[in-house]
Amino acid sequence: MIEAALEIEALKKRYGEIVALDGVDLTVPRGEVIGLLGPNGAGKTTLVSIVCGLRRADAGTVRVCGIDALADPQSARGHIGLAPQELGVYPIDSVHQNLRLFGELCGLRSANLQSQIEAVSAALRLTDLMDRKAGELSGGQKRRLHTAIALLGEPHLILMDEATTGADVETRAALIQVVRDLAGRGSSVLYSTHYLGEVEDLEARVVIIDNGRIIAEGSITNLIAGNGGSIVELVFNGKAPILRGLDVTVDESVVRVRTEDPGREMGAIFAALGDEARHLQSVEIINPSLETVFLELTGRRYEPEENVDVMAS
Amino acid sequence: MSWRRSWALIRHELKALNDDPGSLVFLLIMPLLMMGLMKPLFGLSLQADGFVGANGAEQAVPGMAAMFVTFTGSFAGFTFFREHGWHTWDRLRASQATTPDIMVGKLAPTMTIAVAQMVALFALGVALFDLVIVGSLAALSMIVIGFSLAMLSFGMAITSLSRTSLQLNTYVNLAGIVFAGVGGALVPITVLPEWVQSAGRFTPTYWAMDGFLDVILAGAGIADVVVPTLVLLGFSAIFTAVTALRFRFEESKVYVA
Ligand SMILES: Nc1ncnc2c1ncn2[C@@H]1O[C@H](COP(=O)(O)OP(=O)(O)O)[C@@H](O)[C@H]1O
Ligand SMILES: [Mg+2]
Repeated sequence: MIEAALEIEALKKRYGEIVALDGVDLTVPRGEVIGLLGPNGAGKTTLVSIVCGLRRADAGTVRVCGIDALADPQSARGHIGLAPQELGVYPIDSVHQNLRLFGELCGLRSANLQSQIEAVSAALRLTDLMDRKAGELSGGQKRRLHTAIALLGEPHLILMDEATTGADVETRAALIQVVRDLAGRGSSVLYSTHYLGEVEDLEARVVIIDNGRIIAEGSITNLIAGNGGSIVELVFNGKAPILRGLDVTVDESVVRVRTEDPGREMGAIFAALGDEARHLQSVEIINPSLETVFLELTGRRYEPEENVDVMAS
Repeated sequence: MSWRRSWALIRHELKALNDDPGSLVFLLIMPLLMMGLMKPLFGLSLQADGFVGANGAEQAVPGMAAMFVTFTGSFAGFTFFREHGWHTWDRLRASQATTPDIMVGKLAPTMTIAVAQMVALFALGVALFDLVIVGSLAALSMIVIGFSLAMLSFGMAITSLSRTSLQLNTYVNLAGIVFAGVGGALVPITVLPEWVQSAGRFTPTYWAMDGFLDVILAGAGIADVVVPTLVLLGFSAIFTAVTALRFRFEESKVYVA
């Protein structure tokens, strides 16, 4: 059996009192894309940073293409292309010079270097921007350059941390297309994001991380199938009333009704509510999606921006 | 350690320097102006000390060169802070470049600049201020290299102790002036009080000036500057040890543009 591109076991990391990773297991098989989904502060950047040796783990193992990345980060890096969360390009250099420097650091030279630069810049639509200074590019163009750098040298494992932060629609589409193409050509990608919609567009296997723990993984279809149907969410002024005869969870002023058929269930909900309907503030139907999966697993709505997070330093 | 990776980084640093010649000009123009200003005064002082034929360039040229090479030392640290500001530091670390590759790649260009700056200042001193170097040029070069190394490693030690680029600048520039003052670069050491002269021995600048003046005025050769050169290398070793102990590769520094 060929080893996975990335195998993480029981990975732990704390920053003082804050537990960033609380025993994470995660595997990225060769040639697969894994969408690592989690709200801000879930631990995605910490995980990615440990894999490429930028931060130290407290416990656990990390293997990159069979290499113990914690013991021998230098060898592991030979297989990794990282696009960090923070945009990191040399603003005083042209697009070409940026690609050239990082290509050379990958060990690429002459014709090989040139063809790699051409390949990644074509994939990320940078070909017409080669002589522009990176500092003078638009936000989306910078993001594309930033990502292109990670693809130089055809690394086996590509780590993309919040690749679409601040990206325009064109860039986002280009990035998602690139990830799919990479997988098609046998690369493995760990794509971290806090956007639900993005993992859905990737059509990849999803690993959901929350508070430093993996809470679910699988294909989107299976995850949704395994975690109930739609949810009708009722928000009240003040404390929520008790609804009998329905599959509900109550959270202060919020009642969530689990149902296979929300349209039909409405009648029963309002019948059960009776007079209490006066206190109703809003009603929302949440169709089966990663959103309902997250809600089911954590009891919280998926609010990526909820915990105001310092951009991971 | 891979020379090819270091070389890629060196070329990249040199290009950045080349794109921003303003600061380099400052490193040459300012000391030249100071040399012109100080020369007559130093001439009188040297003559009073018994160097009858001295015109003042003998003190002004090495003195100002020694003072201004300090700023090149802080420049070395600045290039690290800049990487943090651009968020490229983590990218370099996550690349296949090793720690030595990165250190050599970033420091070799600054070391070259420091040496080139001093060589240029001595050459311009000869051309513009009638500096006469009586002793051996090889001996002079030994001091130039030893002192550049000492000031560069001093800059790196302060870099490793600073969290912000403002701290780095403040400390290195302050130290540069203090070193130059008590080390006999800003004014001839002989005019300073006794206790300052003894304190001066604890600065690299004192030993550099000792070597320079020995070569320029007293015609010293290689054998005569072995001691100051070794002392300068000793300073470099101490500063490098501080850097090695304190430099945190994973630390995120604050760079304010
Ligand atoms: N350098 C750090 N020092 C202290 N706490 C940190 C640091 N980096 C991240 N954290 C904390 O660790 C947790 C996980 O952060 P992070 O890995 O950046 O999550 P994500 O990338 O999913 O947003 C958060 O609570 C965050 O505040
Ligand atoms: Mg993050």
